[in-house]
Amino acid sequence: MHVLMLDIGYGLVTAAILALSAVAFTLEYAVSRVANLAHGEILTVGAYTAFFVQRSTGNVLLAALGAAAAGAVAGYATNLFLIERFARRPILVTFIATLGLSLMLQNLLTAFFGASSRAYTINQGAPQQYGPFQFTQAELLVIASAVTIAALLFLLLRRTKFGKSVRAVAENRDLARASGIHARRVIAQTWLVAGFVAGFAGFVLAENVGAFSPSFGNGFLLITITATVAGGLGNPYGTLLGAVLVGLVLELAGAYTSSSYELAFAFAILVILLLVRPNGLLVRQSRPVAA
Amino acid sequence: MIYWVAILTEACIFAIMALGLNVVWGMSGDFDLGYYGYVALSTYLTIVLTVGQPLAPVKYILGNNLPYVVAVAIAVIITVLVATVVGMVALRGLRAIYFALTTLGAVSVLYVVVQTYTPLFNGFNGVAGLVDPMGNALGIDYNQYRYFLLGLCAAVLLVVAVLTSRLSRSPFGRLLRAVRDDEDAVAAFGRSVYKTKLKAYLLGAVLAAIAGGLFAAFLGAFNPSAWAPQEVLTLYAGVLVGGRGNIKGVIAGVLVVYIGFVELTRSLPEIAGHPEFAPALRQVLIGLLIILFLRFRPQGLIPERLSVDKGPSAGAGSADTSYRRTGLAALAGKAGRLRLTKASGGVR
Amino acid sequence: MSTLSIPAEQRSSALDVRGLCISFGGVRAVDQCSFVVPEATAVGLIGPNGAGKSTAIDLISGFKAPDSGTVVFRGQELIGMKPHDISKLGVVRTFQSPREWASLSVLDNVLIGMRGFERETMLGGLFRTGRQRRAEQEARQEGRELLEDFGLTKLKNDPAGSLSGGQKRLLEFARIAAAHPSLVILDEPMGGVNPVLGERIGKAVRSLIGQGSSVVVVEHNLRFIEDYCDLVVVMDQGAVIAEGPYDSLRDNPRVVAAYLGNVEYA
Repeated sequence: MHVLMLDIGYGLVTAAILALSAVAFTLEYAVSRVANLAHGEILTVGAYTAFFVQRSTGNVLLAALGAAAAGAVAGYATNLFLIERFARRPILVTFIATLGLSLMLQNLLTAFFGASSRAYTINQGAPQQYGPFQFTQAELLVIASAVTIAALLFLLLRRTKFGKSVRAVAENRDLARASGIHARRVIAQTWLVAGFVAGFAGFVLAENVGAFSPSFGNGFLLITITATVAGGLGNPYGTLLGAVLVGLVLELAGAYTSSSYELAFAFAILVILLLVRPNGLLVRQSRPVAA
Repeated sequence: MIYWVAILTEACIFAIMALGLNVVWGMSGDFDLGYYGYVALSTYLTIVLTVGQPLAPVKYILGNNLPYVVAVAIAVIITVLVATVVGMVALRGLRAIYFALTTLGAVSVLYVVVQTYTPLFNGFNGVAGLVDPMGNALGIDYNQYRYFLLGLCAAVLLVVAVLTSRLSRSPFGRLLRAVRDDEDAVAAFGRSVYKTKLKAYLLGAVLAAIAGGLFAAFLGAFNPSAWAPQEVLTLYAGVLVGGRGNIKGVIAGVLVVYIGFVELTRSLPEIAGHPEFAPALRQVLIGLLIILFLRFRPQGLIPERLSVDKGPSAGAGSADTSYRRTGLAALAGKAGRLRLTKASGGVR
Repeated sequence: MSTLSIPAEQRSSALDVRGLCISFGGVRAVDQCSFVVPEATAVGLIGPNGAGKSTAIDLISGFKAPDSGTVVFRGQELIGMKPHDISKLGVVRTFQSPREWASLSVLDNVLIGMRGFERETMLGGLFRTGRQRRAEQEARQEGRELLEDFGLTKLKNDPAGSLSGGQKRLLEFARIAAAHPSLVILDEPMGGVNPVLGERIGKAVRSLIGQGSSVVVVEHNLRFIEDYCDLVVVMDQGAVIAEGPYDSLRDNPRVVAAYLGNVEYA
């Protein structure tokens, strides 16, 4: 039982990181209707930036901010140079294009920084007992920052004018335009925000895992997509729930088998979800008819 | 010269893969991101079926010392069985992006499992030992073998090109394109979209497996660093650049992408301490190529040609069949004669 | 034909829809929908926007599965069948926008409409026999003749996607004609169609009737319904509120109320 609770604790940490990455992904999907396969690279860019900032300044906070800023730029640029350029094309075409972008970014990083993993260590602090769980100080900060960012994001979406425009554009872009919303600007700003969160997620992931590499964001992508699909693509609240569920399930499954099969479990969950509940766990399904 | 033989051989093998992908994606419209997994699986299987039992600490399954051709045949069969399972799950009512994600996930899992579960194919170190298959049997010496292999690959490519070309121009090829263009309309006219796609998917897997068998002969060894799920994008680039859906275009595209890129990256300077620079740059260019072509020339360099009907336009019916015109001749303002044909298969 | 001499309401039923229900997200899109389509009859399915007409069509043709209800076509229960199996029984439907196969030629579109299933095997594609080649040639000939009926011969080799809206509608009809259907369901065939073409489509519907097929026409254009349909079914908010010949509905208070402000005459 004790071990189970520990595992649940680790699961919560994974879920926190996953939540950050997945919420960003779902925001991108919500406004652009595209699953961004280059999303993992925003995390990677964040991790690299954090590493170099930390190396030159020694300041973890600056590193985190640097990661978020770099992510914001990456997100904004992705939308500007890719997503918007394919705005009038079928969604599948844009999807393939993001795959091409993912390949480009991963290999640009490889070309300039090498393919091997780099260590990224910050002082984690000793694990302390918190009820049935055990967390290090760093892990607590991860969970706290995830909760804070999620809360801020929801305030943004619910209470601000910007948030309302985002929801309008996500619902129906043409209708939003007709009501006077500058859709392209809103979309660009959403990608900025999503990139900010994803870049930060990259920093958090790197320091939690202890290492990063050009493909490390891409490796996290499948799990991110699983969490997003579980919550319903484009639904930020559902995505949070999905992240918690997937994070916990993965941690527990990995504890009882080998953690190298984490990817296989994530994939199995994803396939089952896509077959049974493609609109997310929260939505009541109208029974689809397979042609 | 020897260098060019190797390049051309590998290009032929990639062209066979691309033709298989063309059936699944180019003609049928299924964005299969896991395609390269079938190539890899077949390559592994061909090697472990041809070599003997593993000597510790090397581990792998099978090891039956079978003749090369038999090994390839078995590899193809096993690969198609795996493809059937994956296809039955992934093609049943999964919309386009979800299908792509499922296949991507499947091949990623395969990649991880092959690396981690060493008893399968010796994990990260991979399997080796396939030397000049059929060389001894045909009395070809070591120096001449590479020419033989080139000839073999080119011959297989020719056969595959002819067969897929016929398929493309056949009623089945027409049906695949209709499925690509509008699935619901196809269902509304009585065809099972799932069954049609599954057939195309399995044919693609067969071609991938054949290419894998040849790949095994070419490389002699195989390990995870020789393939990654992302290699599939090189194939997509080839199909996309050349011209999706048409055979000549696909072969041309593969040649352009593959040979062009190999030459390009070969002439790049070696950067000390960064051995991955050139291959990484090649991947960057492939990604860029995909994006540029999707944006500016999605039909490829050689666009798909429509079937052109050269038959007689005159409406005179042949004398020996009784006809019943459907009466919709009202649209052309002609008085109705009735007409029924056998070929439509429908006797109302 | 004998069927046509019997008044529409008294003909045997080709399609019997009973108690169809489906809800989306708590909203009843189709609510106990029931109506009968007799043999060799054109039935108009009308109603204000959001009445559930297209959803009902999707349910009948198998593209959606209902929560409850039955649909019987010439003695065969359709609910639970896949769309392509329903189509094989002779039920052909169109969609609200012309769904041509854009990258295929006009003739190819018609050839697929012809339902030459046995010609479309994969093995047949790889290794064609003489017999298959002949069958394909015969099909092509029929296809060419059909295109001529519809005045599309000049366009036979053009990609279907390059046709104008009106030409696409004609191609749709050619495709349907090629299928020799027993029941045709037309989903807003007059959408974006000029009156002249509309007249041709109306005549095409009557020709189908003349052959013994039944036709269901979902339409907003009431003039079309009045001119070319024998019976009318009116839906509102998912349910059928009236059924009968067009004239009998004009004074039906429920129909008038449902349509208040929603009437559209060509």
